[in-house]
Amino acid sequence: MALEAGVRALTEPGAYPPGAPPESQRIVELCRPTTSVAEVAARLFLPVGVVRVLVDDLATAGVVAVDDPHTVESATDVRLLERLLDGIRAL
Amino acid sequence: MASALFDHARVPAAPVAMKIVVAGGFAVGKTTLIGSISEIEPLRTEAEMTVESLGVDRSGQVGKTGTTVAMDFGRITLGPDMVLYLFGTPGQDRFWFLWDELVRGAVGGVVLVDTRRVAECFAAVDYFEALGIPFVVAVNMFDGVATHHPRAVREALAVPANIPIVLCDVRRKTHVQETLVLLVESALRNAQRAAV
Repeated sequence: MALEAGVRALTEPGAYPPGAPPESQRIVELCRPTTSVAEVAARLFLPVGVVRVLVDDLATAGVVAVDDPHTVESATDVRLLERLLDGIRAL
Repeated sequence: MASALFDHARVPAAPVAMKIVVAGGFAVGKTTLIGSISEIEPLRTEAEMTVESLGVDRSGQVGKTGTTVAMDFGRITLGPDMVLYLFGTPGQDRFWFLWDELVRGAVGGVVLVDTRRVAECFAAVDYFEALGIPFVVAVNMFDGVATHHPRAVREALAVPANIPIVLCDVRRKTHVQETLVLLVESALRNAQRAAV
């Protein structure tokens, strides 16, 4: 799971079962909208490794979706790089 | 039908995540650079890394040690369907092993140079060159003053002519923006050449 992989909640706010680990609940509530693994770790003061495990469990349970950034391909994709360039220039 | 799940059609598709790595020596201004252009305050997170011990430990075995490494990152949303993450590498050379993960899938790297401590960025330059990853060298203008000409830095670092070197006051968004533009232009040229 890449540091920049996006995590997004698939449940309604507050719907994640009470009694679940508080860290997991906080991840689910944080990930509306999509939030990167690295940002989840920083905002919840958890090591990246812990976040990866919790997110993986949540994804297995169908509570969150993990969007693989596919950056290995996109980093050399001409059309994406052109969009990136336009986006940075427009800042 | 009662369901706790969203109608997936209403959940917007995930934006494409792009990544740029900011490398350089300790306290060279990487966090400041990220903060100048990030839409969020630079965030610090920690990753645990398993490292092949370089030496032999006291038990006489070459082993693996776990260590925790701090890194900074920022986020820039570039429209509804693209987000750019900036990751700052840990400053200490002994954490170079973390770069493999940071650099995987990166558009390229910004090597930030403090001209008073040029040698500290040799490792970063070598790393990007060896992996063929696009990079630019940004010479940090501390106090807004250029103390060295880019040509002198190029000679000191033995950076090839095709690698852009730019003077950058990392506190100024426009400077950081121009640095990133140069990097992405360089990455784009590489990609276009590879696509032919």
